[in-house]
Amino acid sequence: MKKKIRITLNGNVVSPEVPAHRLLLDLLRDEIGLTGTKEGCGTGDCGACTVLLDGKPVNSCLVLSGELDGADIVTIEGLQIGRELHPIQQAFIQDGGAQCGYCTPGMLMMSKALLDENPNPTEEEIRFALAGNLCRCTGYAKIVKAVQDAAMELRTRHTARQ
Amino acid sequence: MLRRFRLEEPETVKDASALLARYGEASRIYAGGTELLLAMKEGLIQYERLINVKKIPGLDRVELENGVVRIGALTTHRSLENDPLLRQQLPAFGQMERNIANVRVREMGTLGGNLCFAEPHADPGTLLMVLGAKLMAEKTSSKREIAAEQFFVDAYETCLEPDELLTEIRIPSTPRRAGVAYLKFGYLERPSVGLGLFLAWNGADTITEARVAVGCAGPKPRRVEESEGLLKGKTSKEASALLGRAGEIAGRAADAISDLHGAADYKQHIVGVLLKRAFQQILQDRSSKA
Amino acid sequence: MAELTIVGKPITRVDAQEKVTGEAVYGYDLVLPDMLYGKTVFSTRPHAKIKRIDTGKAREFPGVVAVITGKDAPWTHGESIKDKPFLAHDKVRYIGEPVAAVAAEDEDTAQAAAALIEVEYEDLPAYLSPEEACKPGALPIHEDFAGYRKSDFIVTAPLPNVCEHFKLRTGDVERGFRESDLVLEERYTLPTIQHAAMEPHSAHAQVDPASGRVTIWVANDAPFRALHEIAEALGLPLEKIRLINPLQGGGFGSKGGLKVEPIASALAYHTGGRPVRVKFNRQETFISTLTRHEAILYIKSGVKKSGSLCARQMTIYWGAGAYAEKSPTVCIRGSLPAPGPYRIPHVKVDGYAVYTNKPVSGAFRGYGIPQGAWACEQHMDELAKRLGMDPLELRLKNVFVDGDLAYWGEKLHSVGLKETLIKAAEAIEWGKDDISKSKIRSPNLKRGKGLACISKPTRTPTLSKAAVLIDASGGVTVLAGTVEIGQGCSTILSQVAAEELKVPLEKVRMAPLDTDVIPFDASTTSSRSTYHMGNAVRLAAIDVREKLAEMASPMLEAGKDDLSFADGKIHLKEQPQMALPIGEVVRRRLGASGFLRGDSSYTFEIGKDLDLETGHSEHASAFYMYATQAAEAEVDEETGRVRLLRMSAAHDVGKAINPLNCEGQIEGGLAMGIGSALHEHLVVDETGKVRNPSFLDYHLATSLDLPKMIPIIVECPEPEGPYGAKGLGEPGLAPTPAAIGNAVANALGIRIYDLPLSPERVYWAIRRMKKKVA
Repeated sequence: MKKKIRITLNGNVVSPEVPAHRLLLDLLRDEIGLTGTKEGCGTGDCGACTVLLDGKPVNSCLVLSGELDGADIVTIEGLQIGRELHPIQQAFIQDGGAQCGYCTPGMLMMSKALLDENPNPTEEEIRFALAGNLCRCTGYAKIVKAVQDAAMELRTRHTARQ
Repeated sequence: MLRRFRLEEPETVKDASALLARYGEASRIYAGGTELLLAMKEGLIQYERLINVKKIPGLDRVELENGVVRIGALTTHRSLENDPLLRQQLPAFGQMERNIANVRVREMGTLGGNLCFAEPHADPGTLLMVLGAKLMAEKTSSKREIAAEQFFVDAYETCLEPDELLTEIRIPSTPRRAGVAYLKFGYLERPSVGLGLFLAWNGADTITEARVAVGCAGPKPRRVEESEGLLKGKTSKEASALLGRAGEIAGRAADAISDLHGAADYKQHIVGVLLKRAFQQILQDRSSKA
Repeated sequence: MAELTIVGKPITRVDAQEKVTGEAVYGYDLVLPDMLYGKTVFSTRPHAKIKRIDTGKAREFPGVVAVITGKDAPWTHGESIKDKPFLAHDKVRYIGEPVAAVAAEDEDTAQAAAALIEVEYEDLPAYLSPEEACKPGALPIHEDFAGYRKSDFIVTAPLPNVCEHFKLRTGDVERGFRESDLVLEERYTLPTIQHAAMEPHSAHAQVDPASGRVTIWVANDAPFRALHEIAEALGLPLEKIRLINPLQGGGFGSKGGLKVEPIASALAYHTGGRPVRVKFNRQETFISTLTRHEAILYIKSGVKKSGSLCARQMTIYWGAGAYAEKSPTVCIRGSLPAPGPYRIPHVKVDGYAVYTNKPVSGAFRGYGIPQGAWACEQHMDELAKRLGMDPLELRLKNVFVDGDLAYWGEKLHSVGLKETLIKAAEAIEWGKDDISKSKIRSPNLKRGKGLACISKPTRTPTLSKAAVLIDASGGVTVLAGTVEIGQGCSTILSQVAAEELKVPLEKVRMAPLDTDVIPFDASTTSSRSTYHMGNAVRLAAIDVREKLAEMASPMLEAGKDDLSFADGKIHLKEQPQMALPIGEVVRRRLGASGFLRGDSSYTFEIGKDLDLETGHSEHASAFYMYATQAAEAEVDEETGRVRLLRMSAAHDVGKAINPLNCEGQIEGGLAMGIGSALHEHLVVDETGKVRNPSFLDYHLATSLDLPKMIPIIVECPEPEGPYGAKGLGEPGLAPTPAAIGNAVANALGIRIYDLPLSPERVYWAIRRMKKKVA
């Protein structure tokens, strides 16, 4: 039994038909073809598949797409602001926050969720927020630094706008 | 990968109960899905139908009524972690919620789902027991109130009837001269020991009420009346001296299992350590408040 | 040497942009037109005869295109011992061994059909400990071992289930022990752990029905070696195989050799020419790909009162798992330097790689060095304690220095080890323990410091070829077979090409890795790439530069030697304004679509191979990496939990071509080392089953588990290396557990011999000691 859902995906409305058991991660990767969202474990433990669902970070590997009618979803492909990289992306490049890069999309989405909620996190708050996102390459030091730098850049921009 | 199933989306508790009654063991309530979908993905359990209760209105509220905090079963861990009312009324509960799994799981996972899944390593049941919580269950024809202590039957098993739904968790506010702590210990992702402690005093520093509960170490969380009895009626100082014994009793009562997280005797020992530390934490909180 | 413009600079990675935008396509992401979906059936028995496989129901399942078993894939492979079937033949040797496979129109169908395959087994006794499996009288796990095709360096032993016996014989250890003032013997162990790269394993394969040509898309860290191994197994000439390497989401050694490739290629013979994708999920990756060798190490040392080492004897059992994979070479290259980077006159080492009925062990970042270091470096501290010496002092007295003759017969040069020891120790305020201990918050907490050092060889000799192309737009393309596994090789090699051609880095592009067009490279392993491929790319760039200068010489009316390169241009040395863009030179001579190509080939020649009886070699390694790490730890005596306060890591890299990247490698290595010290253990139970094949129960270090890390780059230039560079990737985790173990021992006064240092293990050790004291 398939069901037609209407979702806003990275700002565009799409209406895929999905069977009830199709997980959001598989919908994104296999059916829509957005492979930026990664599968690392399929069990909600690694965070590589993190996307924003109505602004909140979720494990797309454990979300049923059948119940997403009306949802707003942002994936790594939608993180850029227009043609420009988001400051978090810029900071990950600058600080060496990505090595093999497989955890990076999830790390970035998680960092985005954190900074949306807490624009000025301490190092401890960043480490706490990212504790569910596994990285086997970096040792996290440069990722934490990147989030700190991105936070500062975002605050500077915010102040400049005011 | 998930096997095929159908998704039902009832809009009332009664309809959900009716679906449960109709489809029996081939169906299951689906809320946050963080544990259920995982177990289904791993092929541990299979259902023909999932009954999505998230469309049922009114089950995700947190309210204070007559000194009782009422939490809708569909409230997510994340919203509980950030709830101002909880922070004010039951800070230990908010703190426990903040340390469940990871942010993404807390965003989707609900308190009710967590309790109903009855995973042995879950935190909330243990703390709810010492908080004196009541769980509200409902089916087509009736409603009832279940004490937190009665709710868990075994690992992955609750006392809910096949067509019953958990709708609300009711927690009495903590009295002024009382303290609560929940401590957990683990070195893998899930905790291997959880311990809840509630203490109330009178004006003369005598412990008038003590509640101890242990979880994670065994198949289900449970109260330890024998340890409570040791502490009750004592001054803080007297109780401090008895903590070792109370901890040993609680450790044995934990019904600890040897597994990946550690041997049973180690977990028993940790129960004792956590009891001592929980006690110290409550005393510290009390003196800093004073 | 001319001044360096880009080598040595902390520039950002050339592949970072595609990784932060999600555009990067990894093996796991790859979708091919008309692709089928594969699913593997794994053995559920640790050691059993296959009585019967019933594939009938699976074949009839709608949407299934092919179902295969070992009968359809009568091939075996293996890096140095050809012992592993593509799919199990008549028996299975571990839980997780691929037994059958399905190809279907979609993933759901493949999974459902695979579940319908029935396998009937007849159980055989299973061996789960390498020490047990090689006891006289043990039954062979490989009955046909003697008949297997093997590389000529394999040395067997008259013991059951031993697939390699490494021997090192230097001096006379018995005499050495007699001459010692103190002799100490200990036993250390390490459990099986896993690479747990964030991208699980997968492979895509297609067989062209007309030509019989096999194409495999796989993120393999050694595409050419894989190509050879597959071609040999299938009995095909090399040109009948092609490997295309999508991006790799980390490997750490797990993605070399053949893992999913044999299953995918065997299936592809039955799909009528359609490509098939076989993915392992995380659980399958845990049980069926590769692990790091569990090891049991016996170490005995004799030392003078002065602290001079006289003799060291080691016997090491390496748990190979069910198939040899890279066990023989891990055994050789892990056992050889296991006695540590010290001057010792009398040394005897016996290393045994032993088959067991457990998941296969193989290459893992560090290639045997972490195991040796866990034993040797804690043993050094125990010696220091008995001698009443500071552990740093004991090491400084004995460590290799320039000009030393190592116990394997090689004269050493460019040894930066002492500098790493001193710097790592300084960084955690070695010797100033009072300050730290005064900060302790509770009587349950004890603090201590420890350090450990290592040297690591690289596989030698190995070959790297490269080509560098300059096109008419001035673009530079580097053809190199080094795989970007996250270590940053594309950045390093781009820097090398840009440096030699004096072009801006943006002008350099790494060609995608396809064995049809990329020149040969041995492998992206053993921390060999910066040195070997760095040299090869440098030489190819110099080759193309020389050709370009020759071409430009008439255009600029100057002799070749009067020309110089800068900013993407070639100019007269004396009159820099007389310049031509390099692309312009190519265009004028070769046309707008022309390009100029430089080629190269680099090997470090060693002359004679390692002597199989003594383990001696005048050149066991092209270069040696040296490192010291130091830890400060706090232990909770009531729970046994070890908390790290800070860790320093000083690594001699020869020359840091990119310091930012070096730091990233060091920090990442530390994190992995800390995980292996405190948490990681792939638990195989008494039935041979992996108990924790998930990230829920196999705990990788998280952002909350790690202390303040202090990476320190030491540069002791290697004359043969490009700009003096050595390697760095592997040593990062090698001394870590021993440094932490030493810190814990320093805090508690208790030595713990087994990993991981889980709270429970530490707690019981404390309890045992307290009981003894009482």
